[in-house]
Amino acid sequence: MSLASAIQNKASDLGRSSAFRIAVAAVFSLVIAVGSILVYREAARLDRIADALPQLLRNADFKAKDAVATQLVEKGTIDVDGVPVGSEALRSAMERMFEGTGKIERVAEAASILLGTARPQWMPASIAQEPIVALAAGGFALCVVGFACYSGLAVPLVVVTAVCALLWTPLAFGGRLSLGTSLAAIPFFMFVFTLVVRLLLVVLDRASPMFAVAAGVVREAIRLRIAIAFAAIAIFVIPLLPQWIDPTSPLRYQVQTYLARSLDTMYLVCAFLTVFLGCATVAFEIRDRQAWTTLTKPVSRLSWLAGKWLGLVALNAAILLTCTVAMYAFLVQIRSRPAEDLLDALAVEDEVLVARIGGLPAYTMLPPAELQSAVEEAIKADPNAQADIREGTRTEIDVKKTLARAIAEEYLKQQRSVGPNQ
Amino acid sequence: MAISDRHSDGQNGDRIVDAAGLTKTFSDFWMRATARAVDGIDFHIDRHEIFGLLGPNGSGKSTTIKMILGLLHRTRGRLVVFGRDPSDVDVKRRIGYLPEETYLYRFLNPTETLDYYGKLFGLDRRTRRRRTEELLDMVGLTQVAHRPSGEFSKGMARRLGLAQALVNDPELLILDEPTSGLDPIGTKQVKDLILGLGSRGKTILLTSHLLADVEDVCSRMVILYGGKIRAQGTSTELLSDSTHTLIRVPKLTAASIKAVDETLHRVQGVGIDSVQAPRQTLEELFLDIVEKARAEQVATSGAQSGGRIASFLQGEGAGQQGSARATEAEAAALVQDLVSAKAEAPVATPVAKAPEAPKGADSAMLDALVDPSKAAAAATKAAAATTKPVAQPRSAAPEVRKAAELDQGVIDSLLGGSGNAEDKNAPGKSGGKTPGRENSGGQA
Repeated sequence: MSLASAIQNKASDLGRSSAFRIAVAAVFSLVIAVGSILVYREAARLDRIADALPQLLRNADFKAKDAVATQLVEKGTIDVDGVPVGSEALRSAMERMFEGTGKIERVAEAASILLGTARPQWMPASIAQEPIVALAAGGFALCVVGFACYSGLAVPLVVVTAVCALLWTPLAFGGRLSLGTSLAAIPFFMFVFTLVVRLLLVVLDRASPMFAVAAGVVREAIRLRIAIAFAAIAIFVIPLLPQWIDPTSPLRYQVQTYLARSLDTMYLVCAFLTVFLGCATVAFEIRDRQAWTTLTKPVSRLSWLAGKWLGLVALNAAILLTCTVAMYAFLVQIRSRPAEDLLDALAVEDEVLVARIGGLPAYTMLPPAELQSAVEEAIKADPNAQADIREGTRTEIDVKKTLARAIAEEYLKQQRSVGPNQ
Repeated sequence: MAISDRHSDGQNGDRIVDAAGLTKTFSDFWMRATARAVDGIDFHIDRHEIFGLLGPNGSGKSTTIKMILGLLHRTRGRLVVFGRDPSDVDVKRRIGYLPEETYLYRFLNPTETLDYYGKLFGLDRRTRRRRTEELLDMVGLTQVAHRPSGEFSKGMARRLGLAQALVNDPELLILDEPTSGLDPIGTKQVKDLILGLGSRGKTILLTSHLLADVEDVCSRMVILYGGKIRAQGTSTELLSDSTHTLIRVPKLTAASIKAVDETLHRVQGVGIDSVQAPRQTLEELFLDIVEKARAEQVATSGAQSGGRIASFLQGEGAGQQGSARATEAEAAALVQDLVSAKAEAPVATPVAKAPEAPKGADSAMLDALVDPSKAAAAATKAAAATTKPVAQPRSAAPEVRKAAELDQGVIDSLLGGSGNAEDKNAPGKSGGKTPGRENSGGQA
């Protein structure tokens, strides 16, 4: 027996051991619980600062030389509950805020800049804004660990954690935090994908032909490594994409590029998986005649095909879910990169990462009086039209109708067109 | 909606399958007939019957089975399964099917395979788990329950195929070449299983190229050739040779053979045609070697010896045999009965619908042969042995069956008693033999 298979057998035995699974679940739960509580406390502190800052900034008066304004201009910081918030780098920005009346006019902007320095780099903005998210995420992680240990993935959980730590630690401490995170994310998201597939199989575990066939498709795709191959492409590309994006370009472009490329990758992977697996699962089952056995059971042909379809949808859902989580995680990472300027930072928030709603444009028609005068002027400016009227080649009404249609059309075109830099 | 409920309601022999003028013609793209695989056949399969479908390659056996399963549509004629059209999905709930080749999902292991087929029948999780364990034990695949079936040998795949055919506890079991690819042990187990299921009331449709297999287990059969039925009837009707008699005795001296020959000339005016020393069959030798290896616990990565018939399969037919689902206590009592009966007098393997017949022990037979005065006593003893009906699969020791096959009527006729060799096939006298088991091995 080779060393690899001996290790595999040992790991398999270990994975079946209830004591090991319970121990892994307990250790991971403890770490997650402590971690989420610490994050929550930090986020709550930031939340308190965020609540107190606007009032303090609103009361600050540089002309009156009050202590808060002086500290902001001289040190770039402000004391909240005795703790200084801000940094030396903000001095000039704060000084500009007091220009004019001596009071801060743009309080929200100043508060946002000061809070930006208080928030740790590792903390996502969503948690800083809503501390309860830290506890919710911790609870979700506890459920995930519990399910992983229950479904026999305790050994992979330990192995993946160890691999992630091995990849991340030297790079992070060597100043390559971003690269370390990207590399560590690959095994992590492969594990997430495995977990999602297990969850799918639990959901599809029903005493119904359609669900049974669907679960068969999922197992087929995983065991024949078709789905794993496609999922691996997405799981490699999405975390590594930030490494290819030029960090010197404006932040809004970086975010836009990442969103576009990662969405393209995800859709391509899902499309190819659907085509390959969809063709193979039905055609091969008929070719290899497993369908003969299945269709002698109480399964209608429609249920069989519906089951195949459901299995494909489930697999696509697994890939979409995994990729979405990966995309969100790395979007948060890219978003935390320094913006070129304040406008760049605002563009990311207000133009790129915003939900949009569709709407039809409303066009106005040229008022009749203006249309009539425009037609008259056009006739005056067009010697050919005048000649046609004069010589009787066309009637005056015909000429006016033609010109009126052209002018109205031109008016609408102007409304529809978007010029450069608009 | 049922096409004709009378078939399953017992008015017409409680028929499970009824075919009349059944025809299947294969056509090309332009609907021109290319081959007539089945040509106007008429047959029926009654409930609790083990029915054989025989014929060479291309005779229409598999096509007939596929029409019964609803996989192919008939071209002409009438085909009713459980009183309904075969394409009715509900009909398939009551059928178990083992195809000629076992088409398994290579990526599933046996446990997952049986669980998958259980789900197709809508069985709940607990039932699926219980049946999976019992069936894997029954076909001897418990040790490889978590190995992907793509790694299986043909025989192991065949065993798993058999297990999947039984997962729904079917009323009608269709077995297409069930012993194909199996080793002699597996073949014997499958035949025992078929007999066991038959004795428990299952209806079985069987096809096989191995005619001995069919002969061993089928109560009635049809022989097809060129898509048409060439012969049909019970095994006794088709196979009995009423012109000869076989007697198995311990080795005789030349003087004894001469004495028997003279006796035969004196009593019946016939002589011995031939005298042969019986040989052990290769199957018996093989089984003996494997049993010894197993007793020495020699390791194997293949299939193990199968266990007893899964308990969920023992329900329905037991009622027909006079007992409902056997409890553990009843099973123990059964074994005890069997042991005591075996020690006292061998019993025939009961087969569905096979009439009982008097049976005697070897010693009684030999006594009767040597001393005509003991013939009456032997007959009485044999009759006593049959008054204790014991349901047992055919896995009983071969010598038990062989002894049971000796017919008191033959002895009577040989000794000039009231019996007559020609009466051997008369009801109540010869039918006790399991159909197709006349050949007892050694001849004298």
